[in-house]
Amino acid sequence: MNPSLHYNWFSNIRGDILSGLVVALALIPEAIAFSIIAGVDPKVGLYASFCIAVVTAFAGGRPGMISAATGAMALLMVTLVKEHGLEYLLAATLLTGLLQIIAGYLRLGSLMRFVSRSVVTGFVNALAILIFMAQLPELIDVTWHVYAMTAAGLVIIYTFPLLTKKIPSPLVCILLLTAVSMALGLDIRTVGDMGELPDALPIFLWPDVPLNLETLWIILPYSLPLAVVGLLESLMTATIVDELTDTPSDKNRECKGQGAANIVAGLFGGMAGCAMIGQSVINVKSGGRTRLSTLIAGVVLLILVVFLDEWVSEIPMAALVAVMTMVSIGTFSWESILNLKKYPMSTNIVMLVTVAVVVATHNLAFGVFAGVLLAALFFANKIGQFLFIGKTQTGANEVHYSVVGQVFFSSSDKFISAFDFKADLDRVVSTFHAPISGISRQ
Amino acid sequence: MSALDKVVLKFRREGIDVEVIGMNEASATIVDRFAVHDKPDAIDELMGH
Repeated sequence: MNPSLHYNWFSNIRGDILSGLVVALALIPEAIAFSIIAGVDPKVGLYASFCIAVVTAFAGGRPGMISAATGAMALLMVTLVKEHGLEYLLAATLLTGLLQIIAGYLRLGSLMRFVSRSVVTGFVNALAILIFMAQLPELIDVTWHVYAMTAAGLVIIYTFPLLTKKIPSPLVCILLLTAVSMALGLDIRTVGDMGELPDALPIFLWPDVPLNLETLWIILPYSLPLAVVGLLESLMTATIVDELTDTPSDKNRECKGQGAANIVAGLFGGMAGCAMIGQSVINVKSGGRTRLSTLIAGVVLLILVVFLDEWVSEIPMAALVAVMTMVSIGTFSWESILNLKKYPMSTNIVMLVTVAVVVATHNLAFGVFAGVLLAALFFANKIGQFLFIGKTQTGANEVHYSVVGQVFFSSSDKFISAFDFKADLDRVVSTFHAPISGISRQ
Repeated sequence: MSALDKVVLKFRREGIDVEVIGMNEASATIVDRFAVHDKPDAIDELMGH
C-alpha cells in the first residue's frame, strides 16, 4: 500500500472508527440545532453535515478535523432564508464554496501566520464559553431527572477512562443514559424532540433560482461573509488540531477542501458549513487521527439518521449536554487563566479582548479581527520602543549619531526628537544599524 | 521616510552638512526612491507641507 495512503487513512483504524462513531452521535443534535437557528428544516443541516464531512475527509488539508454544519455559519444565513427562502440559501452555499476555492488558489491560507498564539487562545476560550452557553437552554425549566442524567453523564465521562480507555467514555455515556432513559421511561427531552429526522438519502438538486445578476447581488452579501467566517474558523481549528496532534496541516488545501465541500452540500440540499472545533477536539480526544475518522463520522451520521432514526431519536439531550459540557471544559485553555500573571500584559489583553468580542457578538470573525488588530498595534508599539540613538562628538564641530532599531511610523517621533538641530555644528554623520520602513508623507 | 527627510533637512536649514551612512540594501533602495532630502528643492517641498 502507498505509504501516504496508509498514513492518511489506515494508520489508526480502531481509534478512527470509535472516534468517528462518537462524533457522528454528537453531530446529530448540533446539526439539528443549527438548522433551527438558520430557519430551515433539520434535514438541511444533517445533509450538509454528511456532505461536508465526507468531502473534507478526501479533499481537506487537516486529517482528523471534523467539518459540518456550524452555528457560526448558521447565524449568518438567517436573514437570507427569512427573506428569500431555502433555494437562495443553497445558491449562496454554492457561491460560498466557489469563493473558498478561489481563496485556496490565491493561497490566502498563508495569512494564518498573522494570527498570534494569544488570539488563538482567546478564540478557543470564547468557543468553549459559547459551547457551554448553548447547553444552558437544555438545563433551564427542566425536571430533576435532567440534572441527575447530566451529572451521571459527566461522572461516566470522567471516571470510565479509569476502568478502560479502549472505548471512548462519551460513547459509553450516550449508550448507558439512552438505555436508562428508555428502561425507566423518563419524560425528558430527546434528540427526537428537537425536530423531524430525514428518512431518505440526500439527492442531487440544482438550486431553483434564476441564473442572473440579480440573484448574484442577493446571494453575494451572504456568501462573502460565509466564506470568510468558514475559512477563519476552519483554519484556526486546523491550527488547534495541529497542536493537539503535533502534526502539520496544509492550510491552502483546507481552503479548497472547504470550498468543494460547500459546493457539494449546496448541490445536495445542505447549508454551508465549516470545521467544528468542538467536534474536532472530541474526535482527537477520542483517538481519531486520520481522514478515516472524518469519513466514518459523516457516513455513520447519515446511516444513523436515515436508518436508525427511531433509536437515535431516543438519545436523551441530557447525555449530549454532558458530552458537550466535557468538550467545553476540555476546550477551555485553563492554563491561560492560571498564567495570566506570568504572561505580558499585552498578550493577556489580546486574549481577553478576543474572548469578550466573540462572546458579545457571537461572531468568531469579529473576535479574531479585533485580536489580530490589537496584537498588531501592540507589536508596532513594542518594535517602536526598540530604537536607540547614540551621540558621539567626533570633532570640534562634528557629531556622529548612531541609530539602532527600526525607524517607522511608530518610532518616527522618538527618532526626530533624538537630534539636536540647534547645536553649533558644521557636520553630522548618521549611521544606521537598522532598517527604515514605510514611505508615508507627513 | 518622512522622519529621515525631516532630520536631514532641518540640519541643512541650520547650515549643517549631513551624511547618512550604513543603511542596508532595502533601506537604501527606499531612500533612493522616496526620500526627498537629496532631490532639488527638497527644503521647499518639505516646507510646503
